[in-house]
Amino acid sequence: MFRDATLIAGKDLRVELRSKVTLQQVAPFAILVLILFGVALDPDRGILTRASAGLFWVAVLLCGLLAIQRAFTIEAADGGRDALRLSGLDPAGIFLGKAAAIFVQLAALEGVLAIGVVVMYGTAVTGVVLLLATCLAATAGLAAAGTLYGVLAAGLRVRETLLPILLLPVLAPVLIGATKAFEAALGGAAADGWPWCGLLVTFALLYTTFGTLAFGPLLEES
Amino acid sequence: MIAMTHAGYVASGWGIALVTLGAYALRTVRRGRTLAAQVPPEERRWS
Amino acid sequence: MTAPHAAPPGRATTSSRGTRVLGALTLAGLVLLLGYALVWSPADIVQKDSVRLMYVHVPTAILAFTACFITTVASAMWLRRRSEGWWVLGGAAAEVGLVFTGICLVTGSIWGRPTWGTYWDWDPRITSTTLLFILLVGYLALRRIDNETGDAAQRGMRGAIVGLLLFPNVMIVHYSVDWWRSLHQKATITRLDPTIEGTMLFTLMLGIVVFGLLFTWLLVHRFRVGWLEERVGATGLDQALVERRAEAGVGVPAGGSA
Repeated sequence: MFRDATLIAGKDLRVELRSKVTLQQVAPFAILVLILFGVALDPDRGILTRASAGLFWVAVLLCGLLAIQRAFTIEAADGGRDALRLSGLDPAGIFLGKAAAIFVQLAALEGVLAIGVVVMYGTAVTGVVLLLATCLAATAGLAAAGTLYGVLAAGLRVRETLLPILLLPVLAPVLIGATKAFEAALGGAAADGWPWCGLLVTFALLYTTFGTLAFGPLLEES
Repeated sequence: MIAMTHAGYVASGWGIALVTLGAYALRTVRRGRTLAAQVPPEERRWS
Repeated sequence: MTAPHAAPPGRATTSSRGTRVLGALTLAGLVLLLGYALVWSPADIVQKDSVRLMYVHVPTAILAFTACFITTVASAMWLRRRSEGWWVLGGAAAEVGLVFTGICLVTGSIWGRPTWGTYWDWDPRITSTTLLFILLVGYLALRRIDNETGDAAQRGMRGAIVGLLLFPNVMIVHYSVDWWRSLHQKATITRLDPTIEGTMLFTLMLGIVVFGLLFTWLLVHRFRVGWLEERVGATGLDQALVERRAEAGVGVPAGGSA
């Protein structure tokens, strides 16, 4: 299973490296979102700094949607999905591989956004351990749930509009947890943030497990 | 009901609830009738 | 079966003796409930008469959650048994649940106005109920889209997975939002004080029972509608095949167009 996962993750990341869509389109979109927030909320009144935790994670969610859509569009072209099914790879491995590729791309985007937030919103960085742990846990949850719902929506023509309403309510707890954890870390009260990080870890474990189990039947029958 | 405080709110709240439920019930039953007419009785053994 | 749509004998409807009895009970209960809710129960000391909206709001909230639970169970059962009834039940419960969720949100919002001065105040329950609403919308949209393409087994899997996750998602969202907002505990009026006065408690219980009956009645009818839709879908295809063959048999057009 893990070997198949590595295979798939490698393939997806190589596709990304060659096409550079995440780099050339989604990353600029991320910066654009940050700027839009700045335009919408008065940059001089300190709102941006105070709200930077939440704004960061909203931006991550929006970029995440794009990245997930992308991850499944590359399959849809040229009948890639049938090829996957026939390849004899373990479906659980395929799930983990795709989720891992999305994880890596999201992590890269978060890096870009982090720099953006620090530079543009003047956020002071404290509680780095908690920040990193939160990013890991939240991103894992996003990748797992996103891969699961992504494959559900992938076969449908209206996936661009359906995926967000399917996925975002499911991800609301991740947004809540990640924002609270970040707020605790940035506010110097890291101890308050760890329980939220725990919520994120639980979420990630739940969806990773479920996705691994459900991916096989889903690939078979859709 | 005489001299109820917030009467407008109570009335509109209950009103919307009952109207919505009634309309939905009506729509469901009507759909049921239309569909049932197209299907032979063996397939709808409840009536 | 050659003649299309021979008028079937018997009443063409989704009603049955059971639903007629249930319906009558529901109506009677509703009248009684209105009496208690609007007239015979007292106004709250703090909330005054706006508490009367709670007798709709709380039952519909409970039933919205119940509907999600039913959909999840139905999805699980469909995954195990693959029988059509479970599939139809999942969709029926979700749709009825959607209506109840909508009413819950509207009555909750209207209740909020005289109580808190605002239609929306990020109270954990209204927030998580709104997310519940969208979860249901998404599930039903997926089912509808899938309905238009593919055969039963194909579309079933997608809907079943989302349906299976519906109730767990509802609970996770509810729990996280609650936790999130509990950190902002202001001195709020709790929606329903657990030590409420006798008649008010009775009215609330009555509301839960009556709306429960209504929910059941709606669910049964909606289930049957869904069941009939499946049948019509199946016979519709047969019908189309019969008609195509009849066309082909009747004569080939001289021009040779297909």
